[in-house]
Amino acid sequence: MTVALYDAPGPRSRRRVLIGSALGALVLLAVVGVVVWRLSDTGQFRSIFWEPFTRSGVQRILLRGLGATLRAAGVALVLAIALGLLLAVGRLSERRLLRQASGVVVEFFRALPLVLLIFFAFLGLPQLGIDIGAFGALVIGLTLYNGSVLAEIFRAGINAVPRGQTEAAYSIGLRKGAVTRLILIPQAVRTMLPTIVSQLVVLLKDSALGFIVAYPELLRSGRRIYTNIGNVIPTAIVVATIYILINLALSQIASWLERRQRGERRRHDEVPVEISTGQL
Amino acid sequence: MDFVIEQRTVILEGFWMTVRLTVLSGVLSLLFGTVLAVMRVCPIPPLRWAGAFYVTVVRNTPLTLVFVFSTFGLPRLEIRFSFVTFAIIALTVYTSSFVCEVVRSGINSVAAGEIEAARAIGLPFGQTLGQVVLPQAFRAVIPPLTSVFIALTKNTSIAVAFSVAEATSILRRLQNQDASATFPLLLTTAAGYIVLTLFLSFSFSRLERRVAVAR
Repeated sequence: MTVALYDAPGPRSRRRVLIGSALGALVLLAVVGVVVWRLSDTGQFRSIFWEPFTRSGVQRILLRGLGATLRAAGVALVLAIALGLLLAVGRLSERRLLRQASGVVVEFFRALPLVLLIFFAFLGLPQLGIDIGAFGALVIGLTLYNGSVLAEIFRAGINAVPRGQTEAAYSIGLRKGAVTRLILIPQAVRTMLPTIVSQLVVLLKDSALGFIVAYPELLRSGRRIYTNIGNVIPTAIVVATIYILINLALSQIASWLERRQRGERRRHDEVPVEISTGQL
Repeated sequence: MDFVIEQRTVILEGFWMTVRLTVLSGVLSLLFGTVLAVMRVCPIPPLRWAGAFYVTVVRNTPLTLVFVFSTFGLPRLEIRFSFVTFAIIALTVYTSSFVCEVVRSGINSVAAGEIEAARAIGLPFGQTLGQVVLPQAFRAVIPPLTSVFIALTKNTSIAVAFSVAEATSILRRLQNQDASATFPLLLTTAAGYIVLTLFLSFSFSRLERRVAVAR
C-alpha cells in the first residue's frame, strides 16, 4: 500500500490504537477460545485421534496419497502446458477458422465447472467404449481446464513480446512457424513463468477433486484414515497443513521469479508487463 | 434426449439449487470478504494479522477439503445443520478469502489524493474508508468480482460429493438411472452452467455501467 489510510498516530491516537489492539486481540482470543473449547469439549484432542499419525502405516497412506496428488498434478501440468501452447498459437493464427475454433474451445472449457469436465471423461468416455479410470478422468479434466486458462496466459505473453523481435526474426529469413517456435514462445513462457507457477497452485488444489471420483489422492487417502479411525477433524487438519505448506512454497517460488524478472527489466529498461493472476 | 426432456423438472430443480447456493454464499462472502478486507487495512495490528492469516490458510486449501471440514467435521463438534447449510458455509468460507483480496486491491487502487483529501478535512479512519474509499473501490472491482462469482457458480458443483441435490448431483443421479442418456445429460448440464455464467457476467457488466462515475 502506497498511501496510508490513516495519519501517523499522535499521542492520543497511539493510545486509541493500543486500546483497539487490546480489544481486537481480546475478541480474537475469544474466537480462538470458543473454537478450542468446542474441539476439546467434543474430545478432538484425545490421543486416540492423533496418535495414529505417528504410526508408519498411516504415514504411508498419506505419503502414497501425496504421491498420487503430485503425479496427477504433474501429468496434468505437462499436458496443460502443451494444450495451452497449441490453443494460444491457434488463437493468434492468421487463419480465421482456426482462430475462431480455438477461441470457442478456450471459452467453452473455461465456462464449465471442473467437476463437470471430469464427469465428461469419467461418465462419458466409458459410453464410447474408452475406459480411462479415475486417474485418467482427473487428468483429462485438469488438462482441459488449465490448458484453456494457460492458453490465455500464453496469448497475453506472446502479445507482450516486443514487435521488433518478430520483425527482426522475419528479416533474417525465418518462416512463420520458426518465428513462433524460436522467438515468440520462449519469450512468452519466460515472461509468464510467475503466472504459470501460480496456476500450478490452482492445479494442485483442484487435484483434490479426485476425491469425487475416488482417485486415491491425498484427500481421498485422508478419508480412508478418518473413516477407519473416526478422526475427521484431526485428519482434515493434517491434510490441510500439507496442502498449505506445498502451496505456500509454490507461491514463494512464483513471487521470487517475479522479483527476479522485475530486476532484469529494470536493467534492460523495458516497460513492465501487466500480469494478472486469476487464481480461483 | 427423450429422457432429458422427460426429466426436465428434476434438472431445473437441480439448477434452482445451484442458483440458491450461488446467491446465498455470494451475498455472505461479499459481506464477510469486505469485513476481512477492512481488517487487513485497518490501523489495529492484531486484526490485520488475523485477516492475513485467514486469507493465507483458506486460499491455499482445496475447496473440497473445506467441504470435508464443514460437512463431516462440524457434526463432530456437535454443530448440526442441513447439508445445504454446510455447503453454503464451505462456499462462503472459501469465496470470502478471494473477495477479500479483490476488495483490498480495489482499496489500493483508489487515488492517493482522495485519501489525503479525506484525511485533510479531518475524517477518521472509519469515515475515510466508508464514505470515500470503499464506494470507489467497489466500482473499480466489479470486473474481478464478476470472475470471483463466476468461479463460485462453478464451484457449487463440488457439492455433488456432499449430498446436496444441485445440478451436478442431479446429472449424476439421472445418469445412474439411464446410462444411455449420458451425453444428452452432460451436454444439457453444461449448457445450464454456461447460461448461468453468461447471465452473471451480463448483469454485472450492466451494473458496472450503471454505477460508473465519470472521472
